[in-house]
Amino acid sequence: MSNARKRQKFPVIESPDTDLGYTLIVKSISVFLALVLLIAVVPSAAQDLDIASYDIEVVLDPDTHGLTGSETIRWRNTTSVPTSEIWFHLYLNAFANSESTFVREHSREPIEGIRTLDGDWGWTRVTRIELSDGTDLLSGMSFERPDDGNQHDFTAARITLPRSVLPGESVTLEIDFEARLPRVMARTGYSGDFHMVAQWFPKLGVFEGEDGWNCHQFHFSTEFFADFGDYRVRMTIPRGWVVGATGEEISREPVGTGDVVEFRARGVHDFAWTTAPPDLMAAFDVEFDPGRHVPMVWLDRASLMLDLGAADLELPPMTIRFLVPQSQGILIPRMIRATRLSIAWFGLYFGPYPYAQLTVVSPPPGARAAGGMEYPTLITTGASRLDASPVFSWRTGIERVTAHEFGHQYFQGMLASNEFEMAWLDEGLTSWAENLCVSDLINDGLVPEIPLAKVWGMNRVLASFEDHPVTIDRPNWERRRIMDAFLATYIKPALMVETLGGLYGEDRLLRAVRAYVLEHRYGHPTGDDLQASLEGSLGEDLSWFFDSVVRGDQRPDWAVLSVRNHWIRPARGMAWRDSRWQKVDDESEAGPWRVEVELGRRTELAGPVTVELTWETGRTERRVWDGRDRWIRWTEVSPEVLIQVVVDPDGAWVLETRRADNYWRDENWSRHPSDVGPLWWLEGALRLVGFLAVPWS
Amino acid sequence: MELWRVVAVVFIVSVLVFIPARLVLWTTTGGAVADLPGGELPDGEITLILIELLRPVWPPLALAFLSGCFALWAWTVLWHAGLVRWFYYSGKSGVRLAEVLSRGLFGWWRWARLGLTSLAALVLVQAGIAWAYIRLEERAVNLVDDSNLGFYLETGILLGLVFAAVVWMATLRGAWLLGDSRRRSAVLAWFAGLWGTVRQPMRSLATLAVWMTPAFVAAIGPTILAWRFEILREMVPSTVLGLVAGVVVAFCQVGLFLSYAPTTGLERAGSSDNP
Repeated sequence: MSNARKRQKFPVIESPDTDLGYTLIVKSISVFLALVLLIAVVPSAAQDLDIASYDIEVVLDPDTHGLTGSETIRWRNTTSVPTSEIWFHLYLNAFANSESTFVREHSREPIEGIRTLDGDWGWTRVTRIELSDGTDLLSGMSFERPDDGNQHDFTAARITLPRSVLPGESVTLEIDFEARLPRVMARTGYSGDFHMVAQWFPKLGVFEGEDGWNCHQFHFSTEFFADFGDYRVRMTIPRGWVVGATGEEISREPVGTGDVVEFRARGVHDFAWTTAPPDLMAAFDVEFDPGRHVPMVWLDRASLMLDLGAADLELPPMTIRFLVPQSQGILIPRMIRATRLSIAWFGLYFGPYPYAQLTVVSPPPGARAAGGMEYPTLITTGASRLDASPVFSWRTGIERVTAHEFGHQYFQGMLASNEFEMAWLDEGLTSWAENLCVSDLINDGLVPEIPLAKVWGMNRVLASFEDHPVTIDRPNWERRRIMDAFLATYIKPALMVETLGGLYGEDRLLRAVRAYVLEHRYGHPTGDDLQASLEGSLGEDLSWFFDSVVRGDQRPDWAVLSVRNHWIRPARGMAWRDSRWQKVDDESEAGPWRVEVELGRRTELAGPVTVELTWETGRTERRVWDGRDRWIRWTEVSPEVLIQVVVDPDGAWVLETRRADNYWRDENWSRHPSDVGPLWWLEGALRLVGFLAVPWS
Repeated sequence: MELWRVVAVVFIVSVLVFIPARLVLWTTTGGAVADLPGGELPDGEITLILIELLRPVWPPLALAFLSGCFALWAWTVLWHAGLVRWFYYSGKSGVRLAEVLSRGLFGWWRWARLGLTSLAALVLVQAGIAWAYIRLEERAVNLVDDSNLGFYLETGILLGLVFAAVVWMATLRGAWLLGDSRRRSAVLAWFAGLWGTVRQPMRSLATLAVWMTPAFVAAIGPTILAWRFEILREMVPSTVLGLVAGVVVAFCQVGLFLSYAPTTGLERAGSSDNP
């Protein structure tokens, strides 16, 4: 509270939609249209979205940053295997001591923005677990360390039930717990009076039948996995504090010195919330009105790319709740624009966002570690007041993070793949889609602050720092370095998906990913599901690609091995003609050229690649090499000389990072080595540096 | 007009010092670059190829580049010292390049100390500005209020530029003051230059701006033009443009330095013993 008193009071930011009449009409229409469309897209009961449902009451003590809560969990066994135990996560215990698995992994390779916790521990203690009939289960609780056996880790626990839960049966658990938030790190915790309350309640793992419970410890470089369910959460917060949470606010009533706020969310697999005093954070709602906020150029393009009519691309209106630091008021229009455009882009390409509300939280300074995270229907972004400065306004941070985190609403929120074991499936697809979205956002001139975006170049450069082969499909805690986890989770999978776009066409790929999203919505898909879905949509066997790139650690590397232009001279010497040896010595006629092109593949990854040949008359032709053999030689007799060969001229294999040997040019047609040509800017940089070295002489 | 010789040699050496870096750069990348087709390449292609080719040679490239920077600095110290000493002791006899260089060589260490003082002042001032900004940022974080952070940053950048200019002007004045045979300390000469700059800030700044604006335009002009017009990236036009720009920069550098020469109050050639 002390910081709040010190702070300068800023005027509370009002919603930009201040026309009450207009707002009411839009809201009414929005609600109607939302209902109509949501009937079509909101999960039905048949999709098993009521597996693990939570009813939680929690009180936040803003001075100690403690939580006191009780929850009722109703879990239904949807598998065909009975179970007599239940596993659950106590995520906040990752911050409970200096030897937890999370902190150990963090300490091994600290990265910027994550502090050590010394003296600021966060934890969860379970004080009661009972069945609904009052049977005590707490005495049988044990902590589990399935991943590393670390006895100091208390992030996964198990209880034994008095009798098995049979297939189709449900069990209800009553749990009391106490928790304390750490200083903000890994997207949860407090900073001053700002509280990001995430991974905060005892939460069930996922029962997978014969495979048992999937309930991993909390690792530094992985996220979460849970079943879908309904959430009803009543939180007691200080009077007047703003609040944002998963789902929708149902009620708010003053009780004692605080407010009790109730949120409900249906068909989600997690619940996070945030609260802060109103002089620190402004909270306001704006509408997403597809009629006004979907750019026509995007609608036309999506219609063309997906081969769908405008009616098939219709999006529902929805509400966006923003929680923004008062000091970042100047950035609000940009945040709103980025969010609306992200909703439009993802909605067009991957289907409508199925929930009625999205909450966007921009953490205040000092709470940056809470930024850039996704929870169902709630995302945290990462703006800074510096983004409003002319020095930095060209940065794509606001748009990128917003697009990325909103993209997670699809690949994490709705698909809900296992982020412990297959973080790449969510992060990689989201990063791929984010790149396409940001590229359209900026290159279509919808963000005038940023002149141009070349998104894939940066990804390719980052991928080039993979100095030893990294397998994508592998749990991140088994990796050697954090950098490997970053590359294998974000960069390589994004490039992998984009490579499929390069090979089979961007439009076909978008259709295929859309089909994957719609097919596996609420279904916890795996990498195999992604492959099967893409294969089905593209009509191609992709096992060669997934086995090499996703399950293996292969990278493509093509090369022009050699090119020869032989002038076929008229024969000289002796030849058998007219039934006798005759001397041949005709130098008068010029012969054609025998052209030999040798291409090679330097890695095990075999796949088709386009090769562009340019002849001396300027004629170009493209051929496809199937890439099955390690090398190939093309020979042909031609009246003209081959002057240039380019392997993969369009950069379809964006995964390929060793590109220098993809080009060959006849020396008579190539630049002089002293011709800086494409490196003109490097020479300019050298000139400028030389200029700057002078003043201090 | 005889100073053209100095301009010419300043330009030539400024090209020569980076030849090792250019050699490493072009011998490593030249072949691959020569094979690249015209027209648009895939996104990030050039950067990728540069990383691929330059990564194995980065130690010699960095060494060549840093030694080029050092050589340029040392050379600038030399001709600064040479011009000052020529001005004081032979100014009436016309410019003889060999004399300027030999006088510069013999006075090099004194003027090098001035340059080091200037560098130390620059680093100190910039570090101070950065430290102040970091503290203000920490304060903003603690108060959970970053509303003034943009102002702090922009002010910091502006102050950094202003102080860099002040340090530069002090160095130019100090270099001429160091020519006074009664002044032996480079540090004191630099501070005297600073005092002179503070006393006549607008005049100093105007002189700097008059000479350095065209120099800066010439330094970045070819790059901007080449960015705008592709034809200027080819060997012949880019070389011609680079040479012209280099000569303009050298001319402005010599002109700037000579503009700081004292017109009164100091003894000129022939009026004191040649040290």
